[in-house]
Amino acid sequence: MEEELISLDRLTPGSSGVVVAVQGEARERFVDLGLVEGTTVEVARQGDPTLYRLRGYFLALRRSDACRVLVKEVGNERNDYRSSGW
Amino acid sequence: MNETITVALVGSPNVGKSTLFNTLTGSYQQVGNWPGKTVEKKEGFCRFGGFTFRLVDLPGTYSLNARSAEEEVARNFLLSGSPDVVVVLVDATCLTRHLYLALQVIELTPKVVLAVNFLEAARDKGMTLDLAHLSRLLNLPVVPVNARSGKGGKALLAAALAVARGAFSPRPQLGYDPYAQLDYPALARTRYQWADHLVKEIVCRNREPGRKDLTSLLDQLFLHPVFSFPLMGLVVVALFWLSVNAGGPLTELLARLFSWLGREAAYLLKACSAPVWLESMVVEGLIAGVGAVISVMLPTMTIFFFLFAFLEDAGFIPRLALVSDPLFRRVGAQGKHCVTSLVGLGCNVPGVMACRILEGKDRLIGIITNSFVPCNGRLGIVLPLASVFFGPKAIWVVLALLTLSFVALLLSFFVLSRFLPGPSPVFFLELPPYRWPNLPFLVKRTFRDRVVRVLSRAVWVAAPMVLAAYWASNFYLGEATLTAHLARWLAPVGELLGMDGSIMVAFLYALPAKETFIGALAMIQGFSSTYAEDEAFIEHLAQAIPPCTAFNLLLFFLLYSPCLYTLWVIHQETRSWRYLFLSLLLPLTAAFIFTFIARLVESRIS
Repeated sequence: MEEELISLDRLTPGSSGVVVAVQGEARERFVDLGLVEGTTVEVARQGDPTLYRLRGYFLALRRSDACRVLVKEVGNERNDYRSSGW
Repeated sequence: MNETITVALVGSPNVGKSTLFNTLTGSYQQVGNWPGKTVEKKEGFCRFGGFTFRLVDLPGTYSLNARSAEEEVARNFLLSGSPDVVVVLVDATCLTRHLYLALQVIELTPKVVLAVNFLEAARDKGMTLDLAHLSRLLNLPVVPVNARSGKGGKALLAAALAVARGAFSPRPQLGYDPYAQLDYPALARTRYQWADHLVKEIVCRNREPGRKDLTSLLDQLFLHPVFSFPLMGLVVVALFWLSVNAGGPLTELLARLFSWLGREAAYLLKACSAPVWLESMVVEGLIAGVGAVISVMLPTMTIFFFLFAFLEDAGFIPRLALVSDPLFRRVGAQGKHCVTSLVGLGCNVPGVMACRILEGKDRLIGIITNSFVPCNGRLGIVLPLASVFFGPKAIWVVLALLTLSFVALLLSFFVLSRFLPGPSPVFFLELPPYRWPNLPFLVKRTFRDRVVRVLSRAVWVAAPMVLAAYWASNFYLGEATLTAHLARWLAPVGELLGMDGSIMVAFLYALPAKETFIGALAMIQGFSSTYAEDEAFIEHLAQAIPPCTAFNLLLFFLLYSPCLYTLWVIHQETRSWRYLFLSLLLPLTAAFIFTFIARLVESRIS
């Protein structure tokens, strides 16, 4: 089955994605904030800026910036801390 | 033995680093539940085990990549400041991200002690941490601390001492080779993988957090898709209303006190047959100038900044930035500008300094636009003057004036975001958990920081200027006073804006400290500035100035220029004359345009 990649801003509320790639000029900033390959990101509050939960903390990003992060959607269950690295 | 041991304190924003610094050194310093508060490094001293510790609080950073000013300051100190030992403070509730920073420090120097904060919060979340195991895995001392109560501080200093004196030489183990990575993202990923591995080894989750914690409950309210905006607005209005209303009676009392003091001093000096110049210097300059600044600024500002610090330490302020971002984005600004503008409502000087939470172009925009926010000093003049001029209708006039200055603020965001060079930086915002602020600490901080500043400004800025204005208004140069000459020259400008020359001179004299405006007006109109609060002068003002002129006066006064102290701080913060002039010219231009338009509308109506 083909894996579908979407940009972070298109992740639906309550669902999670695993970071696959980060592009653009703010790449270094994003990786420092913990948005590295393999990190699970969950949408905590829909809107613009969207509030994401990753690695045990909350990070707000504008959609126009979040679209530079590519994720693989992993479904709607709440993640246990092991996979999200809380 | 008297040897000084230099300890560098490193940590991400919001980890409680400044709090730990304060509890260890007992000295005062700004702490906020806001990412990126400490930009310069700060120093404090404490004694332990016969040694003096020099603690250097480095700016809170997410990494040591030297991309921002904070990161550069931290990195440079670690590399060239030659600290004897580096303490990295980490947050137990989100350990991987904090270990990521710790690993970067370990890559630079082996002399590291890890301090773990918020262990209680982690326990509440159902997690236990095996710190002894972490110490073994990293091969360096790991100490549990409570930054707020200071618990664990002694143990931390003992560990730091052991490392600094060579009693224990850590040979930290990294599970990776930091020099083998090709590019930065790959290196970051490797660090996070190692941090994830460490966390998996030492953290044990005994139970799932059953009930929702306080932060997510409060966030359901404050970050509600529909109610968040009005709710935040309500909090801001309450903050404003409380500080104006609770400060009002105190302001009146202080004004009466200074008025009385002035009269008594004048009486006393006359009785001693002191020369007239001495009497005027003391009464008109020192007492009137200092009195105006203290009575107008001090009560309101102290209350405002206490409440603001409360909201800040409670974790509310970053949420305000999040919720207000869509509005501010429309005019080319961002959510953090809402926060810096709100600080400016208290006083533009801390407002300009608060712009350190912003980066690059956004920071410049925040600094230059801050003077469009009517500070307590200006509001403290506009509110009483409006009620003198407009009586019961004053509230509508004030609302109209505030709306106009808000429009000017939004317009200046729009214009600056278009015309200032450079791209807008990425907007990112970390939301810390809500925490109950440490109240005694807040009181101490507000008083030391605000009260002392207002008092020193009153003495060093306001008093000399009022004195100079008094001299210019009372001593003759040729056949008229300097004030009269100035009023004649400025009359055409005043005419253009629907005012007269003497009002324009009052604007000029009130430039160093806007709170002295009423006093300056009184002096120019031939009243003693000591009696600015008196009925006779107020009645004279109400009769001498018709409503249209009064509206123009108040509008121009709200917008015209930042005070001299603010301008000086703008120069300190930007290190640029160009931006200093822009910060002066933009409000001045806006004041001219707005007042001119107001005058046109008024003449059309009448």
